[in-house]
Amino acid sequence: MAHVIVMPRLGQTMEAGEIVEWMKNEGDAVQKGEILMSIQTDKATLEVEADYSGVLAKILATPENGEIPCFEPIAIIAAPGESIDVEQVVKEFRSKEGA
Amino acid sequence: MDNAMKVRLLETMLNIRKAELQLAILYKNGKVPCAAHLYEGQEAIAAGVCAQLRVDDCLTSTHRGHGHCIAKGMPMKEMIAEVCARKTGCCGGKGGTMHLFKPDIGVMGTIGIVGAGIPVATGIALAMKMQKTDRVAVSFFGDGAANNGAFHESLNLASVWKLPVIFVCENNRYATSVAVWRSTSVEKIGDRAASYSIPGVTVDGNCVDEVYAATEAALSRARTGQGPTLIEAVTYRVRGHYEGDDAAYRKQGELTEAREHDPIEYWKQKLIEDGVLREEDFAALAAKAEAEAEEAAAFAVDSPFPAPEEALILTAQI
Ligand SMILES: Cc1ncc(C[n+]2csc(CCOP(=O)(O)OP(=O)(O)O)c2C)c(N)n1
Ligand SMILES: [Mg+2]
Repeated sequence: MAHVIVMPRLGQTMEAGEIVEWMKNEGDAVQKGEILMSIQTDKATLEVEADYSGVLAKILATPENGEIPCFEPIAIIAAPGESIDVEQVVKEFRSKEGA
Repeated sequence: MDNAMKVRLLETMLNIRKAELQLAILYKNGKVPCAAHLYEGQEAIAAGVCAQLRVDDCLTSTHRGHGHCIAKGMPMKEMIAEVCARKTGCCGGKGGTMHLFKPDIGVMGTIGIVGAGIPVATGIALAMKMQKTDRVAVSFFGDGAANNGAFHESLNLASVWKLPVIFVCENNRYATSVAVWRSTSVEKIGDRAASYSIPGVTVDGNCVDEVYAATEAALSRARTGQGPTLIEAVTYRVRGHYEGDDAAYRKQGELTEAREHDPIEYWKQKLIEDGVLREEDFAALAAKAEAEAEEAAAFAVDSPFPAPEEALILTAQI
C-alpha cells in the first residue's frame, strides 16, 4: 500500500518547514525508523525518520521548493514492486484528510 | 523473580517503546494536538516498579507519563486515543497526554504541573492508611521535580505520618534544557531521603532488575506500615524534551553513550544469557508490540472527536 509522507509538524509553533536534504533517492528501499530526510523548522534543523518500510517511490518536494506548510505531501513510500499513480495517491490522501 | 516475570518485564518495556515511537509518528502527522513528551529510554523504570503493584495500588505521573499508564495496565488503545484527543480515549478525549486518568486501575493522573503529582500521591497514601488498607501509592517524577518544594514537603509529611508511598525520581539528567548538575545540590537525589529520615536508594534506572529489587523492598516497607521510601532511578532522556526539540544543549557524545546502554537491549541480552529467551523469541515479542501499537494508532485516528454537546460531561463544573 502506498503511504503519503507529509511535511511533519515538529513543535507546537511550527507551521511550515524547508527540506534540507533527502537521505534517500527515489527507488531506494527504506526501513521504518531510518532517517529519511532533514528539515529546517522555525527553531532547528532536524532529522526525520521514515514512518513506513517500503520503497521511496516518489519525492514530491526538494530544497528548491523552499517553505512547505506542515502536512503537505512531500513523498510517497510504496510497497516493493508496487506501481503507483502519484496523482491518484495524493488525491486520495487529500480527500481522506479533508484537506 | 521467576521466568514468567522476566519475560513480562520485557513485554511491558517493548509495549511502551513501540507505543511511544508510534506516538512520535502521530505527532509528526498532526494527530496529537498537544505537546508530546515521550518516554523512550526510561521504560525499565515504569516496568520494574509497576510489575509489582496490585490493581488497587495507585500512581501519579507527569507530563512524560504514557509509559506509567501502560505499565499499570491501561490498554494501549485507550492511551493513544486519549493522547490524540479522541472520544475512545481513557478520558473521552478531553484530557490528553497531561491528564491521563483511569482510577479503576489506579492511574490517578499524568499531571503536567512539575512536582504536583508528589503531594497528590502522598494524600492518596494518607487516605489508604486512614482506611486501614495495605494499599500503596507511587509517585513518579523527574529530577527537575525533586528541586520543587512540593517534593520536600511531601517527603517530610510522609515520613512523619509513616505513609504507604513510594517516591520514584526518574533522573533522566535534564529538566527541559537544564542539566541536573546545574540545578541540584546533591550528587545523588536518593541521598535527600536522609533529610526526612526515610530510606533512599539510587539505582541504575536502565536495569529493570535493579529497579525491581528496589521496589520490592520499598513495597514491603509500605505494606507493613513502615512508611515511605525514595528511589532514584538514574536514566537518560534520549529524545528531546518534547517532540521537535533538537536538544542542542546536550554534551557531545552523551546521547551515543546513552543509546549504548538501552534498557531493552540490556534486558534482552540478560534473558538470552540466562537461557530464558532466544533471539527469535525477542523478535516475535517486538513484532507483536509493534503491531499492537500500529493497530492502536489506527484505532485512535479512526475514532471520532468528542461532540461539542458532550463538552460538559467528565469535565469540572465551576
Ligand atoms: C510548576 C511547573 N514549572 C514549570 C513547568 C514547565 N516544565 C514542563 S516539563 C519541565 C521540566 C521537568 O523536568 P523533570 O522533572 O526532570 O522531568 P522530565 O521532563 O525530565 O521527565 C518544565 C520546567 C511546569 N510544567 N510546571
Ligand atoms: Mg528530567
